[in-house]
Amino acid sequence: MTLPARRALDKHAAETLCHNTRPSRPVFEDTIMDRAEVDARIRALIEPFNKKAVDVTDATTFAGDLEFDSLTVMDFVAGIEDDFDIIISMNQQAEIENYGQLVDAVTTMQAE
Amino acid sequence: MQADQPPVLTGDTPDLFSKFDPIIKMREGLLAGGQADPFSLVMEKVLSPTRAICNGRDTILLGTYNYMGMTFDPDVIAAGKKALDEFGAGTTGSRVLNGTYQGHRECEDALREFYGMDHAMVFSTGYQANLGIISTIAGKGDYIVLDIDSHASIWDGCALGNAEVVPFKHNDIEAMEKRLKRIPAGAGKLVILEGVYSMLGDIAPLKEMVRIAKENGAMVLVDEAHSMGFIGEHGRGVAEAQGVLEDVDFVIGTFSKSVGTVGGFCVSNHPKFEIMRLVCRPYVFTASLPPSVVATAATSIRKLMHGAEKRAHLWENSRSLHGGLKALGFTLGTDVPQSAIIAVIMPDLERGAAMWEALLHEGLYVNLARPPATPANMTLLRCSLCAEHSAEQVQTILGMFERAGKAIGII
Repeated sequence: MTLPARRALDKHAAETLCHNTRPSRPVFEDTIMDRAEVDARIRALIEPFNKKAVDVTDATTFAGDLEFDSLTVMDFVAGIEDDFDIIISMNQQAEIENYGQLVDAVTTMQAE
Repeated sequence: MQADQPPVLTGDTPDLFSKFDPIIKMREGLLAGGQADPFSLVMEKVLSPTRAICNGRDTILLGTYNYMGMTFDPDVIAAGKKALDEFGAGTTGSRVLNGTYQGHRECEDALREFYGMDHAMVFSTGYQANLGIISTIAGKGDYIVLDIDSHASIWDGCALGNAEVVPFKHNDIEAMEKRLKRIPAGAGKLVILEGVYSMLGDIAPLKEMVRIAKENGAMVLVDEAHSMGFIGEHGRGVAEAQGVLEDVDFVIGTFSKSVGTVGGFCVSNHPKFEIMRLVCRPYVFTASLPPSVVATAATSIRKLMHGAEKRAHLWENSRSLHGGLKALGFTLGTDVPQSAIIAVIMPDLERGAAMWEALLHEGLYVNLARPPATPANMTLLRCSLCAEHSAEQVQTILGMFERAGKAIGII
Protein backbone atom coordinates (compact mmCIF):
# COMPACT_ATOMS: atom_id res chain seq x y z
CA MET A 1 0.00 0.00 0.00
CA THR A 2 2.09 2.88 -1.19
CA LEU A 3 2.06 5.70 1.29
CA PRO A 4 2.98 9.36 1.01
CA ALA A 5 6.70 10.04 1.29
CA ARG A 6 6.54 11.39 4.83
CA ARG A 7 5.10 8.12 6.04
CA ALA A 8 7.00 5.67 3.87
CA LEU A 9 9.26 3.56 6.00
CA ASP A 10 10.13 0.97 3.40
CA LYS A 11 13.86 1.10 3.99
CA HIS A 12 13.39 -0.82 7.22
CA ALA A 13 10.39 -2.89 6.28
CA ALA A 14 12.21 -5.96 5.05
CA GLU A 15 14.23 -6.49 8.19
CA THR A 16 11.45 -5.65 10.61
CA LEU A 17 8.99 -7.94 8.92
CA CYS A 18 10.90 -10.93 10.33
CA HIS A 19 10.46 -9.58 13.81
CA ASN A 20 6.75 -9.13 13.32
CA THR A 21 6.10 -12.61 12.13
CA ARG A 22 6.94 -14.12 15.49
CA PRO A 23 3.99 -15.54 17.47
CA SER A 24 2.45 -12.70 19.39
CA ARG A 25 -0.32 -14.31 21.43
CA PRO A 26 -1.77 -17.73 22.22
CA VAL A 27 -3.13 -19.46 19.17
CA PHE A 28 -6.70 -20.68 19.33
CA GLU A 29 -7.45 -23.19 16.63
CA ASP A 30 -11.01 -22.05 16.08
CA THR A 31 -10.01 -18.47 15.27
CA ILE A 32 -7.56 -19.34 12.51
CA MET A 33 -8.92 -18.70 9.03
CA ASP A 34 -7.64 -20.01 5.75
CA ARG A 35 -6.70 -17.66 2.91
CA ALA A 36 -10.13 -17.91 1.26
CA GLU A 37 -11.92 -16.81 4.44
CA VAL A 38 -9.49 -13.91 4.94
CA ASP A 39 -9.99 -12.94 1.29
CA ALA A 40 -13.78 -12.92 1.73
CA ARG A 41 -13.62 -10.71 4.81
CA ILE A 42 -11.17 -8.21 3.31
CA ARG A 43 -13.27 -8.14 0.12
CA ALA A 44 -16.25 -7.02 2.22
CA LEU A 45 -14.13 -4.41 4.02
CA ILE A 46 -12.78 -2.93 0.79
CA GLU A 47 -16.26 -2.45 -0.67
CA PRO A 48 -17.03 1.04 0.74
CA PHE A 49 -13.58 2.29 -0.39
CA ASN A 50 -13.86 0.88 -3.92
CA LYS A 51 -15.63 3.97 -5.29
CA LYS A 52 -15.06 3.17 -8.95
CA ALA A 53 -16.23 -0.44 -8.52
CA VAL A 54 -12.88 -1.81 -9.73
CA ASP A 55 -12.88 -5.59 -10.22
CA VAL A 56 -10.51 -6.60 -7.40
CA THR A 57 -8.03 -9.39 -8.13
CA ASP A 58 -4.80 -10.38 -6.37
CA ALA A 59 -2.90 -8.11 -8.78
CA THR A 60 -5.04 -5.02 -8.08
CA THR A 61 -2.83 -2.24 -6.66
CA PHE A 62 -4.05 0.13 -3.96
CA ALA A 63 -2.30 3.29 -5.14
CA GLY A 64 -2.66 2.69 -8.88
CA ASP A 65 -5.83 0.71 -9.60
CA LEU A 66 -7.93 1.67 -6.58
CA GLU A 67 -6.50 5.21 -6.36
CA PHE A 68 -6.31 5.12 -2.56
CA ASP A 69 -4.90 8.28 -1.02
CA SER A 70 -3.22 8.32 2.38
CA LEU A 71 -6.47 9.00 4.25
CA THR A 72 -8.25 6.11 2.55
CA VAL A 73 -5.31 3.83 3.32
CA MET A 74 -5.51 4.79 6.99
CA ASP A 75 -9.25 4.14 7.25
CA PHE A 76 -9.04 0.89 5.29
CA VAL A 77 -6.08 -0.42 7.31
CA ALA A 78 -7.78 0.56 10.59
CA GLY A 79 -10.86 -1.40 9.48
CA ILE A 80 -8.82 -4.52 8.78
CA GLU A 81 -6.86 -4.17 12.02
CA ASP A 82 -10.05 -3.96 14.06
CA ASP A 83 -11.78 -6.78 12.18
CA PHE A 84 -8.89 -9.24 12.56
CA ASP A 85 -7.54 -7.83 15.86
CA ILE A 86 -4.05 -7.42 14.41
CA ILE A 87 -1.51 -4.65 13.87
CA ILE A 88 -0.37 -3.80 10.35
CA SER A 89 2.46 -1.37 11.07
CA MET A 90 3.43 1.26 8.51
CA ASN A 91 6.66 -0.65 8.00
CA GLN A 92 4.60 -3.67 6.93
CA GLN A 93 2.21 -1.55 4.85
CA ALA A 94 5.15 -0.24 2.85
CA GLU A 95 5.78 -3.81 1.62
CA ILE A 96 2.19 -4.32 0.48
CA GLU A 97 1.37 -2.98 -2.96
CA ASN A 98 -1.42 -5.17 -4.21
CA TYR A 99 -4.51 -6.95 -2.91
CA GLY A 100 -2.97 -10.43 -3.04
CA GLN A 101 -0.02 -9.34 -0.87
CA LEU A 102 -2.44 -7.88 1.67
CA VAL A 103 -4.49 -11.09 1.88
CA ASP A 104 -1.28 -13.13 2.27
CA ALA A 105 0.03 -10.82 5.01
CA VAL A 106 -3.25 -10.84 6.97
CA THR A 107 -3.60 -14.63 6.59
CA THR A 108 -0.15 -15.04 8.15
CA MET A 109 -0.73 -12.47 10.89
CA GLN A 110 -4.10 -13.73 12.08
CA ALA A 111 -2.77 -17.30 12.27
CA GLU A 112 -0.10 -16.27 14.77
CA MET B 1 13.28 22.07 -17.45
CA GLN B 2 9.58 22.63 -17.99
CA ALA B 3 7.08 20.54 -16.12
CA ASP B 4 5.39 19.44 -19.32
CA GLN B 5 8.52 18.06 -20.92
CA PRO B 6 9.26 14.33 -20.85
CA PRO B 7 11.12 13.17 -17.75
CA VAL B 8 14.28 12.29 -19.67
CA LEU B 9 17.27 14.57 -20.19
CA THR B 10 19.79 12.78 -22.40
CA GLY B 11 19.88 9.15 -23.45
CA ASP B 12 18.31 7.07 -20.71
CA THR B 13 19.43 9.26 -17.81
CA PRO B 14 16.32 10.38 -15.95
CA ASP B 15 16.07 13.84 -14.42
CA LEU B 16 15.78 13.28 -10.67
CA PHE B 17 13.54 16.35 -10.50
CA SER B 18 10.80 14.76 -12.61
CA LYS B 19 9.11 13.52 -9.45
CA PHE B 20 8.33 17.13 -8.56
CA ASP B 21 6.50 17.83 -11.81
CA PRO B 22 2.98 17.57 -10.32
CA ILE B 23 3.76 20.16 -7.63
CA ILE B 24 5.55 22.42 -10.14
CA LYS B 25 2.45 22.25 -12.31
CA MET B 26 0.07 23.02 -9.42
CA ARG B 27 2.16 26.02 -8.43
CA GLU B 28 2.34 27.34 -11.98
CA GLY B 29 -1.41 26.94 -12.34
CA LEU B 30 -1.99 28.93 -9.18
CA LEU B 31 0.38 31.76 -10.13
CA ALA B 32 -0.80 31.94 -13.76
CA GLY B 33 -4.04 33.55 -12.61
CA GLY B 34 -2.11 36.54 -11.25
CA GLN B 35 -2.15 35.15 -7.72
CA ALA B 36 0.71 36.41 -5.52
CA ASP B 37 2.94 33.55 -4.36
CA PRO B 38 1.82 32.71 -0.82
CA PHE B 39 5.11 30.90 -0.14
CA SER B 40 7.63 33.61 -0.94
CA LEU B 41 6.53 36.57 1.15
CA VAL B 42 9.35 38.82 2.33
CA MET B 43 9.06 40.99 5.42
CA GLU B 44 11.09 44.08 4.61
CA LYS B 45 10.97 45.44 8.12
CA VAL B 46 9.67 44.00 11.40
CA LEU B 47 8.23 46.70 13.62
CA SER B 48 7.06 44.65 16.62
CA PRO B 49 5.83 41.13 17.44
CA THR B 50 2.54 42.04 15.74
CA ARG B 51 3.51 44.39 12.87
CA ALA B 52 5.82 44.27 9.84
CA ILE B 53 6.27 45.98 6.49
CA CYS B 54 5.36 43.56 3.69
CA ASN B 55 5.46 44.79 0.05
CA GLY B 56 5.82 48.31 1.43
CA ARG B 57 2.60 47.97 3.44
CA ASP B 58 2.19 48.16 7.22
CA THR B 59 0.88 44.66 7.99
CA ILE B 60 -0.63 43.06 11.10
CA LEU B 61 1.05 39.72 11.77
CA LEU B 62 -1.45 36.96 12.51
CA GLY B 63 0.50 33.92 11.48
CA THR B 64 3.84 33.88 13.26
CA TYR B 65 3.46 31.54 16.30
CA ASN B 66 4.98 34.40 18.28
CA TYR B 67 2.37 33.64 20.96
CA MET B 68 3.87 35.52 23.88
CA GLY B 69 5.44 38.35 21.86
CA MET B 70 8.92 37.80 23.29
CA THR B 71 10.85 38.61 20.09
CA PHE B 72 11.22 42.29 20.99
CA ASP B 73 11.26 42.00 24.78
CA PRO B 74 13.96 44.48 25.95
CA ASP B 75 15.47 42.07 28.52
CA VAL B 76 15.62 39.29 25.94
CA ILE B 77 17.34 41.51 23.39
CA ALA B 78 19.79 42.86 25.97
CA ALA B 79 20.76 39.33 27.00
CA GLY B 80 21.37 38.38 23.36
CA LYS B 81 23.54 41.45 22.70
CA LYS B 82 25.59 40.84 25.82
CA ALA B 83 26.23 37.21 24.86
CA LEU B 84 27.15 38.23 21.32
CA ASP B 85 29.73 40.66 22.73
CA GLU B 86 31.12 38.31 25.35
CA PHE B 87 30.97 34.91 23.64
CA GLY B 88 31.02 35.70 19.91
CA ALA B 89 28.78 34.95 16.97
CA GLY B 90 28.79 31.15 17.09
CA THR B 91 30.24 28.09 18.76
CA THR B 92 31.56 26.32 15.64
CA GLY B 93 31.12 23.02 17.38
CA SER B 94 28.98 20.14 18.60
CA ARG B 95 27.48 20.20 22.07
CA VAL B 96 29.63 17.18 23.01
CA LEU B 97 32.90 18.74 21.81
CA ASN B 98 33.58 22.47 21.89
CA GLY B 99 29.99 23.68 21.56
CA THR B 100 28.76 23.78 25.15
CA TYR B 101 29.20 27.27 26.62
CA GLN B 102 28.02 28.61 29.95
CA GLY B 103 24.92 29.92 28.14
CA HIS B 104 23.85 26.45 26.97
CA ARG B 105 24.01 25.19 30.55
CA GLU B 106 22.05 28.22 31.81
CA CYS B 107 19.43 27.67 29.14
CA GLU B 108 19.00 24.03 30.20
CA ASP B 109 18.81 25.16 33.86
CA ALA B 110 16.02 27.58 32.91
CA LEU B 111 14.12 24.77 31.17
CA ARG B 112 14.47 22.38 34.11
CA GLU B 113 13.13 25.09 36.38
CA PHE B 114 10.33 26.05 33.99
CA TYR B 115 9.03 22.47 33.82
CA GLY B 116 10.11 21.35 37.30
CA MET B 117 11.90 18.38 35.75
CA ASP B 118 15.29 16.77 36.38
CA HIS B 119 16.80 16.88 32.91
CA ALA B 120 16.79 19.21 29.94
CA MET B 121 18.58 18.84 26.63
CA VAL B 122 18.75 21.70 24.10
CA PHE B 123 18.83 20.92 20.37
CA SER B 124 19.58 23.28 17.50
CA THR B 125 15.93 23.22 16.33
CA GLY B 126 12.60 21.78 17.46
CA TYR B 127 12.60 19.57 14.38
CA GLN B 128 15.89 18.05 15.48
CA ALA B 129 14.57 17.50 19.02
CA ASN B 130 11.80 15.25 17.69
CA LEU B 131 14.04 13.67 15.09
CA GLY B 132 16.72 12.89 17.66
CA ILE B 133 14.70 11.75 20.66
CA ILE B 134 12.20 9.59 18.75
CA SER B 135 14.72 7.86 16.46
CA THR B 136 17.08 7.18 19.37
CA ILE B 137 14.75 5.88 22.10
CA ALA B 138 12.48 3.72 19.91
CA GLY B 139 14.68 1.07 18.30
CA LYS B 140 14.36 -2.20 16.43
CA GLY B 141 11.58 -4.35 17.87
CA ASP B 142 9.97 -1.43 19.75
CA TYR B 143 6.59 0.00 18.79
CA ILE B 144 5.65 3.65 18.29
CA VAL B 145 1.92 4.38 18.57
CA LEU B 146 1.15 7.88 17.31
CA ASP B 147 -1.63 10.20 16.17
CA ILE B 148 -2.06 10.23 12.38
CA ASP B 149 -2.03 14.07 12.38
CA SER B 150 1.42 14.27 13.98
CA HIS B 151 3.85 16.96 12.84
CA ALA B 152 6.37 16.19 10.06
CA SER B 153 9.25 16.21 12.56
CA ILE B 154 7.58 13.34 14.46
CA TRP B 155 7.05 11.30 11.28
CA ASP B 156 10.63 11.97 10.24
CA GLY B 157 11.84 10.85 13.67
CA CYS B 158 9.92 7.60 13.13
CA ALA B 159 11.38 7.22 9.63
CA LEU B 160 14.93 7.75 10.90
CA GLY B 161 14.59 5.02 13.54
CA ASN B 162 13.93 1.31 13.29
CA ALA B 163 10.78 0.88 15.39
CA GLU B 164 7.44 -0.44 14.16
CA VAL B 165 5.21 2.54 13.48
CA VAL B 166 1.50 2.23 14.27
CA PRO B 167 -0.71 5.30 13.69
CA PHE B 168 -4.20 5.82 15.04
CA LYS B 169 -7.05 8.14 14.02
CA HIS B 170 -6.65 11.72 15.23
CA ASN B 171 -7.48 12.17 18.93
CA ASP B 172 -9.31 8.80 18.97
CA ILE B 173 -8.78 7.39 22.47
CA GLU B 174 -10.34 4.02 21.70
CA ALA B 175 -8.31 3.55 18.49
CA MET B 176 -5.12 4.29 20.43
CA GLU B 177 -6.01 1.84 23.22
CA LYS B 178 -6.89 -0.98 20.81
CA ARG B 179 -3.54 -0.65 19.05
CA LEU B 180 -1.61 -0.55 22.32
CA LYS B 181 -3.30 -3.74 23.47
CA ARG B 182 -2.38 -5.57 20.24
CA ILE B 183 1.37 -4.97 20.61
CA PRO B 184 3.21 -8.25 21.24
CA ALA B 185 4.12 -8.92 24.88
CA GLY B 186 7.62 -7.84 25.78
CA ALA B 187 8.00 -5.18 23.09
CA GLY B 188 8.96 -1.63 24.13
CA LYS B 189 6.20 0.94 23.57
CA LEU B 190 6.32 4.68 22.95
CA VAL B 191 3.13 6.72 22.60
CA ILE B 192 3.62 10.06 20.81
CA LEU B 193 1.04 12.83 21.22
CA GLU B 194 0.90 16.58 20.74
CA GLY B 195 -0.61 19.06 23.18
CA VAL B 196 -1.95 21.36 20.45
CA TYR B 197 -2.24 20.15 16.85
CA SER B 198 -1.09 23.11 14.83
CA MET B 199 -3.22 22.69 11.73
CA LEU B 200 -6.66 23.06 13.32
CA GLY B 201 -5.53 24.40 16.69
CA ASP B 202 -7.31 21.61 18.57
CA ILE B 203 -5.93 20.02 21.72
CA ALA B 204 -5.48 16.34 22.63
CA PRO B 205 -7.45 14.56 25.38
CA LEU B 206 -4.15 13.99 27.17
CA LYS B 207 -5.72 13.15 30.51
CA GLU B 208 -7.29 9.95 29.17
CA MET B 209 -4.63 9.15 26.60
CA VAL B 210 -1.69 9.44 28.99
CA ARG B 211 -3.52 7.30 31.57
CA ILE B 212 -4.27 4.59 29.02
CA ALA B 213 -0.72 4.67 27.66
CA LYS B 214 0.65 4.21 31.18
CA GLU B 215 -1.82 1.41 31.97
CA ASN B 216 -0.52 -0.40 28.92
CA GLY B 217 3.11 -0.03 29.90
CA ALA B 218 4.06 2.59 27.33
CA MET B 219 6.37 5.55 27.71
CA VAL B 220 4.77 8.83 26.66
CA LEU B 221 6.25 11.66 24.63
CA VAL B 222 4.22 14.85 24.24
CA ASP B 223 5.15 17.61 21.82
CA GLU B 224 4.07 20.88 23.46
CA ALA B 225 5.50 23.19 20.77
CA HIS B 226 2.28 25.19 20.37
CA SER B 227 1.25 25.33 24.03
CA MET B 228 4.44 26.22 25.90
CA GLY B 229 4.26 29.58 27.62
CA PHE B 230 0.51 29.89 27.09
CA ILE B 231 -1.52 26.83 28.13
CA GLY B 232 -1.51 25.59 31.73
CA GLU B 233 -1.17 27.54 34.96
CA HIS B 234 2.62 27.90 34.57
CA GLY B 235 2.57 27.75 30.78
CA ARG B 236 3.95 24.21 30.75
CA GLY B 237 1.40 23.07 28.22
CA VAL B 238 -1.71 20.96 27.73
CA ALA B 239 -0.34 18.13 29.92
CA GLU B 240 -0.11 20.61 32.81
CA ALA B 241 -3.58 22.01 32.10
CA GLN B 242 -5.05 18.49 32.18
CA GLY B 243 -3.06 17.47 35.28
CA VAL B 244 -0.96 14.69 33.72
CA LEU B 245 2.44 16.34 33.27
CA GLU B 246 4.08 14.12 35.88
CA ASP B 247 3.07 11.01 33.94
CA VAL B 248 4.63 12.29 30.72
CA ASP B 249 8.10 10.80 30.22
CA PHE B 250 9.36 13.26 27.61
CA VAL B 251 8.17 16.76 26.75
CA ILE B 252 9.42 18.10 23.43
CA GLY B 253 9.35 21.81 22.78
CA THR B 254 10.75 24.64 20.73
CA PHE B 255 12.21 28.10 21.20
CA SER B 256 10.76 29.27 17.89
CA LYS B 257 7.24 29.95 19.13
CA SER B 258 6.46 31.42 22.57
CA VAL B 259 10.15 31.68 23.50
CA GLY B 260 10.70 33.89 20.46
CA THR B 261 14.03 32.68 19.04
CA VAL B 262 15.14 29.33 17.55
CA GLY B 263 16.08 25.96 19.03
CA GLY B 264 14.44 22.85 20.43
CA PHE B 265 14.49 20.84 23.61
CA CYS B 266 13.45 17.75 25.49
CA VAL B 267 12.79 17.70 29.25
CA SER B 268 12.43 14.48 31.22
CA ASN B 269 12.61 12.90 34.66
CA HIS B 270 14.00 9.63 33.32
CA PRO B 271 16.97 8.71 35.57
CA LYS B 272 19.13 7.68 32.61
CA PHE B 273 18.20 10.64 30.43
CA GLU B 274 21.70 12.21 30.31
CA ILE B 275 23.02 9.33 28.19
CA MET B 276 21.02 10.82 25.31
CA ARG B 277 23.77 13.42 24.92
CA LEU B 278 26.11 10.70 23.70
CA VAL B 279 23.80 8.48 21.67
CA CYS B 280 21.43 10.93 19.96
CA ARG B 281 22.88 11.66 16.53
CA PRO B 282 20.88 14.81 15.64
CA TYR B 283 22.24 16.25 18.93
CA VAL B 284 25.85 15.14 18.46
CA PHE B 285 26.46 15.67 14.76
CA THR B 286 25.49 19.31 14.38
CA ALA B 287 26.78 22.63 15.69
CA SER B 288 25.22 23.97 18.88
CA LEU B 289 23.11 27.12 18.99
CA PRO B 290 24.95 30.47 18.96
CA PRO B 291 25.59 32.04 22.41
CA SER B 292 23.22 34.93 21.66
CA VAL B 293 20.38 32.52 20.89
CA VAL B 294 20.69 30.49 24.09
CA ALA B 295 21.00 33.71 26.10
CA THR B 296 17.79 35.13 24.59
CA ALA B 297 16.05 31.77 25.09
CA ALA B 298 17.07 31.47 28.76
CA THR B 299 15.96 35.03 29.51
CA SER B 300 12.68 34.55 27.70
CA ILE B 301 11.92 31.21 29.42
CA ARG B 302 12.50 32.77 32.84
CA LYS B 303 10.18 35.66 31.98
CA LEU B 304 7.51 33.25 30.72
CA MET B 305 7.39 31.69 34.20
CA HIS B 306 5.74 34.93 35.32
CA GLY B 307 3.55 35.48 32.27
CA ALA B 308 0.13 34.85 33.84
CA GLU B 309 -1.28 38.24 32.79
CA LYS B 310 -0.10 37.86 29.20
CA ARG B 311 -1.58 34.36 29.13
CA ALA B 312 -4.94 35.75 30.27
CA HIS B 313 -4.88 38.45 27.57
CA LEU B 314 -3.95 35.91 24.88
CA TRP B 315 -6.95 33.76 25.89
CA GLU B 316 -9.14 36.88 25.54
CA ASN B 317 -7.73 37.51 22.06
CA SER B 318 -8.33 33.90 21.05
CA ARG B 319 -11.94 34.03 22.26
CA SER B 320 -12.71 37.36 20.53
CA LEU B 321 -11.21 36.32 17.21
CA HIS B 322 -12.89 32.89 17.27
CA GLY B 323 -16.27 34.34 18.25
CA GLY B 324 -15.98 37.19 15.73
CA LEU B 325 -15.04 34.96 12.78
CA LYS B 326 -17.80 32.52 13.64
CA ALA B 327 -20.33 35.34 13.79
CA LEU B 328 -19.18 36.52 10.34
CA GLY B 329 -20.03 33.09 8.96
CA PHE B 330 -16.59 31.54 8.49
CA THR B 331 -16.08 27.81 9.03
CA LEU B 332 -13.50 27.24 11.77
CA GLY B 333 -11.32 24.28 12.71
CA THR B 334 -12.76 23.99 16.23
CA ASP B 335 -16.21 24.73 17.71
CA VAL B 336 -14.67 26.61 20.62
CA PRO B 337 -11.23 28.22 20.87
CA GLN B 338 -8.83 25.62 22.30
CA SER B 339 -5.47 27.32 21.74
CA ALA B 340 -3.94 30.46 20.22
CA ILE B 341 -4.46 29.01 16.73
CA ILE B 342 -7.72 29.70 14.93
CA ALA B 343 -7.94 27.82 11.63
CA VAL B 344 -10.34 29.20 9.02
CA ILE B 345 -11.36 26.44 6.60
CA MET B 346 -11.38 27.48 2.94
CA PRO B 347 -13.63 25.83 0.32
CA ASP B 348 -10.66 25.03 -1.96
CA LEU B 349 -7.03 25.96 -2.67
CA GLU B 350 -7.91 28.57 -5.32
CA ARG B 351 -10.27 30.56 -3.11
CA GLY B 352 -7.98 29.99 -0.13
CA ALA B 353 -5.06 31.53 -2.01
CA ALA B 354 -7.26 34.38 -3.26
CA MET B 355 -8.48 35.05 0.27
CA TRP B 356 -4.91 34.98 1.55
CA GLU B 357 -3.93 37.60 -1.02
CA ALA B 358 -6.99 39.76 -0.33
CA LEU B 359 -6.10 39.76 3.37
CA LEU B 360 -2.52 40.72 2.56
CA HIS B 361 -3.86 43.68 0.56
CA GLU B 362 -5.95 44.63 3.57
CA GLY B 363 -2.70 44.59 5.59
CA LEU B 364 -3.03 41.24 7.35
CA TYR B 365 -0.67 38.28 7.24
CA VAL B 366 -2.01 34.80 8.02
CA ASN B 367 -0.58 31.34 7.17
CA LEU B 368 -1.91 29.57 4.12
CA ALA B 369 -1.82 25.81 4.81
CA ARG B 370 -2.59 23.36 2.04
CA PRO B 371 -2.37 19.62 1.35
CA PRO B 372 -0.39 17.50 2.04
CA ALA B 373 0.51 19.34 5.28
CA THR B 374 -3.17 19.56 6.27
CA PRO B 375 -5.51 16.85 7.58
CA ALA B 376 -8.27 15.67 5.22
CA ASN B 377 -6.68 17.63 2.35
CA MET B 378 -8.14 20.90 3.62
CA THR B 379 -6.97 24.36 2.65
CA LEU B 380 -6.70 26.51 5.75
CA LEU B 381 -6.00 30.10 6.66
CA ARG B 382 -4.29 29.66 9.96
CA CYS B 383 -4.36 32.55 12.38
CA SER B 384 -2.04 32.48 15.37
CA LEU B 385 -2.63 35.14 17.96
CA CYS B 386 -0.08 36.97 20.06
CA ALA B 387 -0.36 38.24 23.64
CA GLU B 388 0.80 41.58 22.23
CA HIS B 389 -2.19 41.93 19.88
CA SER B 390 -4.39 44.61 21.39
CA ALA B 391 -8.16 44.17 21.68
CA GLU B 392 -8.46 46.93 19.01
CA GLN B 393 -6.16 45.04 16.65
CA VAL B 394 -8.38 41.98 16.94
CA GLN B 395 -11.38 44.12 15.92
CA THR B 396 -9.37 45.55 12.99
CA ILE B 397 -8.51 41.97 11.95
CA LEU B 398 -12.20 41.00 12.01
CA GLY B 399 -13.02 43.96 9.74
CA MET B 400 -10.33 42.82 7.28
CA PHE B 401 -11.69 39.27 7.27
CA GLU B 402 -15.21 40.55 6.63
CA ARG B 403 -14.20 42.70 3.63
CA ALA B 404 -11.90 40.06 2.12
CA GLY B 405 -14.37 37.23 2.72
CA LYS B 406 -17.16 39.15 0.96
CA ALA B 407 -14.90 40.16 -1.93
CA ILE B 408 -13.85 36.55 -2.55
CA GLY B 409 -17.37 35.26 -1.96
CA ILE B 410 -16.63 32.98 0.95
CA ILE B 411 -19.10 34.60 3.35
